[in-house]
Amino acid sequence: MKTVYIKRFLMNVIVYLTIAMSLYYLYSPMSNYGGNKTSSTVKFVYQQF
Amino acid sequence: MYVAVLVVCKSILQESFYKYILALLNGLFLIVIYPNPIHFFLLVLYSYLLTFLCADVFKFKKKIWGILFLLLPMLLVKFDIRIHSYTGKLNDLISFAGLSYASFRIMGYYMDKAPKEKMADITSYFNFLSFTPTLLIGPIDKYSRFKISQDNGFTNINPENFIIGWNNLVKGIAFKYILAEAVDRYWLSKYDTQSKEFLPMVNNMYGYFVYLFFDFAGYSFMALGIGKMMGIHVPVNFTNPFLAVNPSDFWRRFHISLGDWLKEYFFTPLYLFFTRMKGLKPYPLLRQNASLFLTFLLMGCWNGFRFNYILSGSLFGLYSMIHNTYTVQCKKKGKDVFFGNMNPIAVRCISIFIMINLSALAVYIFSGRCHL
Repeated sequence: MKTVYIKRFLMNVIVYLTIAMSLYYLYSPMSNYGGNKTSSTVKFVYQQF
Repeated sequence: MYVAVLVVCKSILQESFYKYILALLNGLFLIVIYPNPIHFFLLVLYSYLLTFLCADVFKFKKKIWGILFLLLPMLLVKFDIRIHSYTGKLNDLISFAGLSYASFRIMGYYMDKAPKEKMADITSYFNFLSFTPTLLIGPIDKYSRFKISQDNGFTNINPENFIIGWNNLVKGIAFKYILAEAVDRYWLSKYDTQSKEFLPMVNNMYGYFVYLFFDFAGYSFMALGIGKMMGIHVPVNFTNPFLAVNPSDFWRRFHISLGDWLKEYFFTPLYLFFTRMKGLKPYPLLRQNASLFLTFLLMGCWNGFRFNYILSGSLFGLYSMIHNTYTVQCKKKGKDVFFGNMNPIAVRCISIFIMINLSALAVYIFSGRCHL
């Protein structure tokens, strides 16, 4: 049982670290990307009005 | 912040106060952040009074009149109708972002309301229409389901639901802000949408399909997660659409709440209507196919009266008609008329492959990125 919890904890750590690093990589001020060019679903809803 | 407010209120207030706190939070969001909040409040009042008049005062046996009046604001906006005495667009007076989703919920409530059923109280009705996480792009909930969640709102705010909600929220963030963003940045943006060459067109087609899924599913998972943390169960809207084996399976996996809504409130009544028509009685397949095609055509029109939306909806209608005819033929002949005795795993893989390509094509047309 204890091993299962430890494995789950480590898995969560890996997943959250990956998400955090990906977000930092994509959105940090150092990223020189000009912004998303493809219209999102919410933008689509707004554009209709 | 919403969750924190509700957790604090849970410790000091009784269960019956949940809906009022939720109404305050929803109202606050509308007033502070939402564009055209007055339009939204007016629509809530208009639809509430109209539902009451049609269902409880006049007791219309045929619901079609009530439906037409309830959908009137959305129809006026979609058809871009103008009036002579007002020089601007009528849209500016009544429209707001999310009007379509609100109209779907309003119509669903009216259709579901039994003749002797007591009218919903205005606070619950307002919460149902304005629940912040699902306000703009759904999922489209049913009032009965929403009401059960709302009545146990404070009880639903517990550690188990918080963890489920948190996991969905994180999944939504990863889908929307990492995967959809990455698809846009490293795939779609590399190809010119105006190009008429084969390779850019193919990349735009598949890239946009994947992007749309991560973007839309991301929002839906975030809505589900936040809803769960706030004590409201929001229906699941996406379950692996890339594994769909046929058109009906695709709509059971992609934007599920819209597919369910169209099936329950448009396809089934339309099919029953065709069944009652004497001339169509001997042709069950024709009735089914006509109902399927018109349902998907409506879905296309709902996105807007533009050629690409209507063509995309018609294409999904055509896929469904072909698949329905194929299923009927298989049943008639007692064997698979297309795959024969092929290995079921191979059949499944081929079906998934065909469905991915067909749906990517329809979504590509919907996107307006292709040249028509």
